[in-house]
Amino acid sequence: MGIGNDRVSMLLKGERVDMVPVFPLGIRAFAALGVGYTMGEAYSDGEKSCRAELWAQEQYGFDGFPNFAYGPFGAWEFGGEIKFPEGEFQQAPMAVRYPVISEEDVWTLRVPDDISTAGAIPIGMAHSLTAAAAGATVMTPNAGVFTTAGNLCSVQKLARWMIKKPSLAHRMLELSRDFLIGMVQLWVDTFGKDILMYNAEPSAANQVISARHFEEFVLPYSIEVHSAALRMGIKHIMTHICGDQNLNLDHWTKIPMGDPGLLTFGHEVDLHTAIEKLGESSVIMGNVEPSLIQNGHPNDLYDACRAAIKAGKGAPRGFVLMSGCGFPPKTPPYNFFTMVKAARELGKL
Amino acid sequence: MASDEKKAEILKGLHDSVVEYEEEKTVEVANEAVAEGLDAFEAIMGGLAKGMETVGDLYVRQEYFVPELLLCADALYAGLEVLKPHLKAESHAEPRKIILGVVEGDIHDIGKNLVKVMFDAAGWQVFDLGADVKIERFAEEQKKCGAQVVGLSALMTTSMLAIPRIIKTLRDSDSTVRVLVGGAPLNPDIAASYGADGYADNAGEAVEQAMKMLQQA
Ligand code: B12
Repeated sequence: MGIGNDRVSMLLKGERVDMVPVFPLGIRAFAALGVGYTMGEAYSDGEKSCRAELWAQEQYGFDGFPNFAYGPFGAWEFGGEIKFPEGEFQQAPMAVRYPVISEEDVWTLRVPDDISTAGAIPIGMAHSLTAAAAGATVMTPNAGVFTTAGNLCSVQKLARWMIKKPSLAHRMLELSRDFLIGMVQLWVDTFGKDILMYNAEPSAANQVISARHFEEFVLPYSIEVHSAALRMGIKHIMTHICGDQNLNLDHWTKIPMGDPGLLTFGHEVDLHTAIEKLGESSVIMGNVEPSLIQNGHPNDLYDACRAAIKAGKGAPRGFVLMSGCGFPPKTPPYNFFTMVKAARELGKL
Repeated sequence: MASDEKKAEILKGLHDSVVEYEEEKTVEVANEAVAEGLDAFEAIMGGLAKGMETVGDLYVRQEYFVPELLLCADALYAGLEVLKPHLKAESHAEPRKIILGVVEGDIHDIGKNLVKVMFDAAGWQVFDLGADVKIERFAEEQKKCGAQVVGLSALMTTSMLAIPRIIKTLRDSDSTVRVLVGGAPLNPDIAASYGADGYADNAGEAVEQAMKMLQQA
């Protein structure tokens, strides 16, 4: 158990690597389809989901480690309802009933007594146990504190409360914070401190909120969750800074990420800017546009990988070629191979 | 009848209270408009809708974000509720109709909701099917309500693959219907390759695009 031996884990340990690693973010649905499982099983069956990722890793020869985090995280765990992906066009679970509907619900909602049995936590745990058994780096399965809060009451309700009823918004964030800290503790108790904490903040993107609201509602709670994880002995936090977060980047520099952290960016953030602002303390990962990965001509995708590698290669703590967001499950296998090929041919260090 | 000066003051009041997302003030000014005998259609278009247009610009310039927009929309709807019952028969004789929905498999509905606000503000009758809408439902609903335009939103590369299928079912059922699409992974080229009649990058442009499509029809 502990930190694995793939190239991304080597960067975390400060070791030299021979090439830019490729680490597709959240590849489980693509991986599941590739071994004949259903898209639903990629989320509903932790063991199969993790095994599919490990097999895909063997097949394509990429780096990194299995990851179980999913977008609507929190809704089910707090007593709401989610739907697993089933049809042809889904790629992730979706919330169908939020635990918080009315303003009164905010004050009666509690962090689940036993986090280990809440919602998808047992599935995430089965996923991590499978990863640990295979010698891969283990990572917690959560989303970020703001995104989780949005998943408890809907982002749109949270957004309105931030302006009109800030005390309700802050309460949602406190609940989310306490839950996340409890969950990270459960993972540390189970796997020890040589694991990674994961964080993803799509709902904090500037497509949704301003930097001013980030400062008030995302920053303080993220600092609390990350600091708590680091106090537990976790050394590295992987954070997916999802979407357009250009206006938030200065705030992200104030959130402790461990040494080094692992920061992943969407195509909306320029890699040079990311490296300049955050590259001294974190490994920078990114940021090939998912839509190009799924729909692009292999030559265009290869060119986009070339541009990303060129921009990222010199990052002081290392660079990892990654999809800008969740790896599109319907990607043609040759396009994924193209990313691996680009790193092999253009990413020699 | 209100004086020109009074009228201008009321229209500005409606505009400003929407932009400053002051719901109660919007209702207050809307009531004043009614009391002063202002034409409801003019109050909506020249006050509330103008306000929402300004809000759209502020969003594009990244001065406003989704929380502000949602509250502006709340103010707009509160004002509409006061003014709509006072619309004269001829001004709402044949409102243009649009069906909006986020495609199957996708729950990203913030963008679609903002697009809906813009169509409401522009006086369209909007049939909102919500998120994760099954393929066949668009054509079924279009048949029922006779909307001239169907607006499809998709935020993921997986879910956007539903768009060409929806367009086919729509065309099979009514060859005159116009399809407008939007959402982050789309662009004008993908939209055209899917057989859509129009694409808009943001909520502000959506109404303009829809109007253009209807003129071409
Ligand atoms: C907020 C967000 C979420 C929230 C959504 C909350 C909600 N109720 O909507 C949550 C956290 C729940 C979420 C979940 C997921 N998300 Co998300 N999310 C985002 C994010 C950061 C912002 C989207 C947003 O709300 N923007 C604000 C609105 C105002 O803008 P907009 O939607 O673009 O709409 C504007 C225009 O596009 C246009 N428009 C939109 N629709 C229409 C329709 C018409 C007719 C017209 C004319 C115009 C138009 O006008 C709108 C207003 O100006 C985007 C990043 C991005 N690049 O968009 C990722 C993003 C969409 N998510 C992504 C992913 C992968 C996911 C998940 C799959 C993650 C996971 N593995 O679980 C899940 C999927 C859940 C599901 N089954 O649908 C990826 C999709 C990538 C891909 N493969 O295609 C994105 C693109 C991130 C990225 N950088 O790649 N997400």
